[in-house]
Amino acid sequence: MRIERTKRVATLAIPALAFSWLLAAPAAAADAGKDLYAKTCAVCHAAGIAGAPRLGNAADWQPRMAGGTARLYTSALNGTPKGMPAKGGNTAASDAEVKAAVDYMVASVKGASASPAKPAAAAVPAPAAAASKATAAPAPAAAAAPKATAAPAPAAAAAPKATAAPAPAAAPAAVAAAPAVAVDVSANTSGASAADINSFNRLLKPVGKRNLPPAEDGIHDPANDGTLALMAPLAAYGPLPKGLSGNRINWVKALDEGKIKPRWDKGDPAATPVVIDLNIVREVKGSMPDVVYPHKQHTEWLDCSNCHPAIFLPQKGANVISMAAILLGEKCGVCHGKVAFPVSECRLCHSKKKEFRPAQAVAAPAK
Amino acid sequence: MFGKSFWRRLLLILLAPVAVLSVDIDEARAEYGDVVINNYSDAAGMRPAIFPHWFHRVRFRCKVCHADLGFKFKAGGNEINMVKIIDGQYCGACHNGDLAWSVENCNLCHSGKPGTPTQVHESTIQQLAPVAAPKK
Amino acid sequence: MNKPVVLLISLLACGGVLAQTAPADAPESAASRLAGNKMDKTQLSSNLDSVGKLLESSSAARQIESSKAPEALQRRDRARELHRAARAALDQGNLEKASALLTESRSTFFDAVRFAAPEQVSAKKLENDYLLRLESVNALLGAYKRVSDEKSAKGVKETVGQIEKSIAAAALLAKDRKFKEAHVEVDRGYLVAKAGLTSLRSGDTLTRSLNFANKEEEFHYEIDRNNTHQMLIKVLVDDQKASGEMVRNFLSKAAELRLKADAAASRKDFAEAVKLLEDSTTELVRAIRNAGIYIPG
Repeated sequence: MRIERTKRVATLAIPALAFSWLLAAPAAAADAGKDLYAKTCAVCHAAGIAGAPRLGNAADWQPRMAGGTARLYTSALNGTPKGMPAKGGNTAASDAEVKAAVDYMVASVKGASASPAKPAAAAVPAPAAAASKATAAPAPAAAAAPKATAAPAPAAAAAPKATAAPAPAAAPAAVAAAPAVAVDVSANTSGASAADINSFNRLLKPVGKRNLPPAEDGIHDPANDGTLALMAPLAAYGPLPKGLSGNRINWVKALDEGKIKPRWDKGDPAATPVVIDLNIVREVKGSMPDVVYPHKQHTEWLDCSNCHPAIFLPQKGANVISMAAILLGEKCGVCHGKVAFPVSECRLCHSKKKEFRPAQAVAAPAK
Repeated sequence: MFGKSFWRRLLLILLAPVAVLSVDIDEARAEYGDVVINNYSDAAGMRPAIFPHWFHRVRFRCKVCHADLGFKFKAGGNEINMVKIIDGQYCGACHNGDLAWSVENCNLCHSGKPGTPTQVHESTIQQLAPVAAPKK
Repeated sequence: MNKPVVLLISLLACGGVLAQTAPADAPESAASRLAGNKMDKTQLSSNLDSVGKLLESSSAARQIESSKAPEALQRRDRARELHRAARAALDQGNLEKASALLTESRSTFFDAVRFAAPEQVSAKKLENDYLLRLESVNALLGAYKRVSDEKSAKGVKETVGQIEKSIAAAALLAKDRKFKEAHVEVDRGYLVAKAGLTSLRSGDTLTRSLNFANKEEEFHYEIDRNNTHQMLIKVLVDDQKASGEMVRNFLSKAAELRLKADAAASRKDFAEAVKLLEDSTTELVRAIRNAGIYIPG
């Protein structure tokens, strides 16, 4: 696992850093602004989430700039009631860095308006493509993660071929990808995750605190000789496709790709499951996408009797399911949040986008 | 080509294993899905048993244990004891020396820190209402 | 790739492998690893203690005593002898001998349990398993009847007949307390139901639309939604962020609105309660977003 990661570091970091070196990089402060933007701000300001003024979009920034730069600094440092968190939620950032990020965003609109607009456009379609791929499949998380980190790399490689100007945006995107891959502290915290917002996972513990071998994991007794003979999870996880939560393994993908071959019958290795391909769509209120429950993926692992009728009645309209119940370990929460992936992976279930109905007074974000 | 920032990053990468090795064990977390079963262990003076889901789901689908062998979806809810296991129920259906190692290897299952309450480790319910940490 | 980079990467790979404590390239299983371990006096001593507990105070020991089966008691006495011998060997410092005797003591004891009618203890489980499976079959049968009506399917009567026959046969066996056989029988009907439903329903998509019969229903839905977002704050946002000033402001506003909504509900003014709850949830969503996690509203 570490070998692959470091190889990716080399292949992404070297060209990315080479290009960022090639441009006559301005003062270190501007670099800091770009860096912070890519790490923290891009999450909302790249695509304009929750009404955030978009990078390079003059129309968005005009009314805000009218109040002066000092007011912009205040908004960025202290947050606004409309939804801007203080320092973009990154309390570790220094005031100077935050101001530099504001300068960077303002600069994207002022002056050289043509070229900054292009990198914004170039950066957005690539992640957007990854995002649409993400919403297509029911288990997009692990698929999206490598795709999101891969997309900026071709963008970085392709962009400089066009002109020198797009390189500034390509470089931050690639620089963002490189640290994300390099330390793997959080697989998607950087600008690369602007594509798939919900795959951003602050619950992901750093390398040193997850998937620990039994002797160090906090519940096994290290003074027991049996504990030391047990296999460490990471020893088995090497070839398995990674996920963003739980065991950090995408078990469905592992099964589909044949990386694991769990038995359907205790004694018969050749038995095959009876799979039913039946989707249950549950509409939800608000702008949250509707839930799609796929029997197919579940019946590869489970038997009908596991859920029916003890957890779910096999009858349309007969089940009252609420997120609150799921979080408390009932209904879907009997497995999800305990053994199967936890509910921090919203989009894996909330996967059916609603058509935009402008006439409806939905609980819109910016009221 | 190998500028300052490249070496800085490489240093970070090289230091990563050091960080792993020097992890604070008190704060460490077990593997997601590990089930600590401590219905009778404390009283009997044995370490609580720990069942690792990850190891088993690589080899068996959920149905085998939860539908065929009768395990309920409830940590501690199956009231497993040695008699039932030796009789070939629950864990004893496989851990009999044929499909998997025999249950005579006490310490491979009874490997938890004494005093750890029954729980599914790192479950969402635990985050909402944390179970007491194992006594040191 | 450059040579120095390759070298650094391979050095790192070695470090990565060594950093993992349990052997990544271990032989067959945990048991063989355990058996291959060096003998350790403290471990052996604590293992002796554990086996002692097994022989004297475990559920298995109690079962042997209550069963009064002579073969069981005999074997258990033999196991006790071996255990004493193991203890003596350990005291003399002969770790190998102690370990071998301990292993033999354990397996003799397990043999003893097998003679002590352990199925008495497991009988309840077999009954339970059968009853659960019966419940499932009935649920699937009901679903099958409904779906086949909806789709005007063919061959329904035969399938239903088969399933019901299975259930009846199983019930007879269960009356004689032959739960294992009853389970096998009811499983036949279960598989037929499973196959029938799969063939009828495969490829379908069922949609559960959000239609509230009245405002009161919508109120209950909104209460759940509000509770959910409160819990999501605990689950998604770490404690440090959750105590920030802006977040706390949003949370207190949300709590206020929730109280008002509860008051409106007690007055049976559900329309107002729903509106207040929607506002309260919006404040919670803002709190979560303020903490840096984007979720749709």
